[in-house]
Amino acid sequence: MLIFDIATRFGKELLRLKITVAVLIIMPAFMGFMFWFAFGAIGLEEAQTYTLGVINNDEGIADELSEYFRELPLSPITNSTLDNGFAADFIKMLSTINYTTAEDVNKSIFTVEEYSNQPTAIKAVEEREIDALVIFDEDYSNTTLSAVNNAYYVEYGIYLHNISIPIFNWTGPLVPTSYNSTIHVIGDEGYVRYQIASFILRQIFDTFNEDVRNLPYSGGNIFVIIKPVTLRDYSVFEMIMPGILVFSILMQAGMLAAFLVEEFAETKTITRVRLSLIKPYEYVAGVTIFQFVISLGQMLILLGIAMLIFQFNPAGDVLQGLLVLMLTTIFTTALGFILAGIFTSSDTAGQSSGFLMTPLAFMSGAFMEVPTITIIPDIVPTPSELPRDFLLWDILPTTHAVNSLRSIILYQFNIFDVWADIVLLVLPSLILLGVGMVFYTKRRFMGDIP
Amino acid sequence: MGTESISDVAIEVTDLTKTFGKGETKVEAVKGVSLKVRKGEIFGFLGPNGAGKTTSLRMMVSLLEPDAGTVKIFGMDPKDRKNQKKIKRLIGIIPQEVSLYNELTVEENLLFIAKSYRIPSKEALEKINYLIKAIGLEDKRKTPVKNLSGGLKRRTNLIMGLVHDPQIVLCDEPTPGLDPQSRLVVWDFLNNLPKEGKTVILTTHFMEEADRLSNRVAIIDHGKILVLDTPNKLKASIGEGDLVEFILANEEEEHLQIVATTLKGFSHWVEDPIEDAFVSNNRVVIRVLDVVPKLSRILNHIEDQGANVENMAIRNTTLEDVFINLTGRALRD
Repeated sequence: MLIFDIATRFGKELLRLKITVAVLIIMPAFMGFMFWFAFGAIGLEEAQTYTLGVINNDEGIADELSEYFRELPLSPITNSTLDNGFAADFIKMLSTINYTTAEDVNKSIFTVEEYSNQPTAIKAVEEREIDALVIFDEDYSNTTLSAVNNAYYVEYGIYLHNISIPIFNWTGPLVPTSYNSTIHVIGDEGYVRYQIASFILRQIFDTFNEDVRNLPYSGGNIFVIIKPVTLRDYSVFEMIMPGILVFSILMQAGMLAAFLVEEFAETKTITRVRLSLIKPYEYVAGVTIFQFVISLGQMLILLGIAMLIFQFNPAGDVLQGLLVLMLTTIFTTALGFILAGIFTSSDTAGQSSGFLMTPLAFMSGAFMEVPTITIIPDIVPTPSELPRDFLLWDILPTTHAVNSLRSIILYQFNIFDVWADIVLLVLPSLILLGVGMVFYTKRRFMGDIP
Repeated sequence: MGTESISDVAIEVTDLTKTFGKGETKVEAVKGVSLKVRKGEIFGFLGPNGAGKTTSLRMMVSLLEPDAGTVKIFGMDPKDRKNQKKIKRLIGIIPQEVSLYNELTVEENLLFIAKSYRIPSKEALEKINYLIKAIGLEDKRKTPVKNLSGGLKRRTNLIMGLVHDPQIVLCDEPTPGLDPQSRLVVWDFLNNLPKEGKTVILTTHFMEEADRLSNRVAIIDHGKILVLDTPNKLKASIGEGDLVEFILANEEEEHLQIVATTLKGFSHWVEDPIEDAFVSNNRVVIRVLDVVPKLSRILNHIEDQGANVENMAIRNTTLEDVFINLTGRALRD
C-alpha cells in the first residue's frame, strides 16, 4: 500500500541518519540523566511528611440527634463515643496514619495544623507553609449520619479533583435525609507536594467511602477501617519524567518539519512526488504513520532507559501512559506539517521548532510548576463530579498530555478517569492536524514549485 | 509549425506566459511562448541561464501555473481532472537539480518512484534492471546515493524520470558539471529514447548538446522564442561558409570593432567577399566560403589595419553563432 511505502521510505531515511537518531534518543536520555543526577535522590532517601492545614467547621451532630447517638461508640478511630463530631475524629485520624513500609513504619504521613480562618489558611497554601488545606463544612457529622443516598463531596483543590462519596444506608428512624456535606482539599496544582498529599488523601477518602458503603449497618457502631496507604514516594526526577517524555515527543516536530522541508527545498524530491500518482492525502497519511512509529520507538527506548538505568519506577499503568504519548504525537505531527509549510530551509525549520517547543514544554508544566491563571472557573470535568477551573495553560494540548501522563503513570489513575484531559489533548490536536495537513498540502502540493 | 494531427503532437503550448514578482521586482520570465513538439523527436530548448527554459518546462508539467496560455499533452488539457492521471503516466521529468533520496540506495530510489506510479513490483524490477544497465550503474545499485560521485548521481537522476516508462521525457539541463565520459553516456542514453518511441524535450545552454541531440531547436531568450528549426537550418540561416576566429594582441573592444568593420565585405583581393565579421568573446570572427586559399590575404589585411594576430582557429558554424547573430551576445553572457 502506497501510504506504507511512503512511511517506510521516511523510516529508512531516518534510521540511516545516525546523528539524527542519536539526537532523538540520546538527547532526552541525557536530559533525563541530568535531572536524575540533580534530583534523583530527593524523595527516595526518606519518606516525606506532608503538612495539612485543616479548617473544621463541623458543628457536630444536630441537637435532636445527639441525644440518641451520644452514647454510641461511633468513632471510627477509637471505636468509642464522639466528643466533638465526626470531622474532629477524622482529623485526629489523619494525624495518626503512618507509612506502612518497614523502615518508615513510625513515620507520619501528615502533620496537621488547624486553622480557624480561611483567608489565613489559603495564604499559608500560597506561601507553601502547608502542602494542602482540608476544609470540613458544618454538616459533616450530620451527613455522616444522614439517611439513604445522601452524598457528600470531597473536592480537591479550588481547581481540580473532587470525589463523590455516596454514604452508607442508615436504617435508624431519627436521622433526617436533607444533609449534604463537602470536604474541600485545596492546594497549588503545580506544587509537587500538593499533588502527592492530595493523592494520599484521595486514597484515604476512597478507602473510607468503600468501607462505609460496604458496611451493613447493624444499628450499632459506624466502623471505618483505614486501610494501609500503599503509596510510594516519588523523587523529583520521577515527577519530572513524564514532562521529559512529552518534551521529547514535542521535539520531534522539528525533525519532521526538517525532513519535509528538505524534500521541498533541498533535494526537491517533492517534484517527483507531485508528478507521480501519489495523492496528497496518501502522502500526509504516510508521513503521519512514520511519525507515530518513530514516536513509539523513541518512547519505548526512553522509558526502557529511564526504568532500567535511572530507577524510574512508576506505580501506574505504563501502557496507558504510552497511549497518552502516542496521542500527543498527533499534536507534534500537526506542528511538523505547519512548520514544513512555512519554512523553506530545513535548518531554520529545525531551529525554529526548538525555540517553539522548549517554552511550550515549560508552559505545559513539563518541568516545573506554572502559575495558575484562571480563565473560566469550574468548567473542566475531573475524575469526580465537581469541575475545576479552566486555566490559561489549558489552551495548550500539551498541558493535558503532561497532566494525564502524570495522573496515569504516577498517581495510578485510569485513562478514563482523566477523560477530560484526554479530550482537551486529542480534540485540539486533531483539529490542528487537519489544519496542518491542509496547510502543508496547499503550500507544497498545490502551490508553484519555483 | 506544420499541420500535424493531434496524435503526432506530443506537446502543444500556445501563448504561454509567466510573470514572477510585482512592481519593481516584476520579472516576465516567459512571454507568449507557442510551440509544438512532435511525437518521437528530441526537441531542444536552447538559451542562456534565465532565458525562460525551465519556467516553460515547469508550466508544461503543471509544476507552475501559467498566467496565460494553454498546454496540451497529446491533445489533452492537464487542467482537466479526468486527464491528470493519464498525463502523469505519460510524462517523466528529469529535473535540473539532482533530485534523489540521499539516504536510500540507487535501487531503493528507483523502487520508490516505481511504487509511486503504482507499478507492480515484478514489472518495476524488470524496468529498473534495464535502466540501471542502460545507464551503466550495475555495480552501484546497492550504493546509497549519498556515496555516489556527482556524475553517478546525475545518471541516477536521469533514470528516475523513466522508471514508469513515460512517453514524453522532459529533461532539464541534464549534463552540467559532468565529466566528458559521463556526458557521453547521458547523450547516448537520451539519443536512444526516440528509438523507444519517446519524445524528449531537452533544455540546455550547451550549444553542442542541443546541436548534437536535437531534431529541432527553439532558441529562447528573455522569455521569447527567437527561432525554431532544425539545427542545420538554423546554422544555415545565418550564412554559409567556415568561421575563422582571430585572437589579436590588442584586445580593446574599440580596436576589435574597427578590424571587424574593415573585414566585413572585404573582397578586394578575393572573389567571394567576407559575408560577415563581428566581435565575440574578445575575438574577431569572420565567415567566408572556402577560407583556406584566402587566409594569407585576409591576415595581411588585418595586419594592414595595425593589428597583430596572435592566434587563429577555423571552425564550423554553431548554434551559438546563431544565438549571437540573433541577440548580439554570446550564450554565456
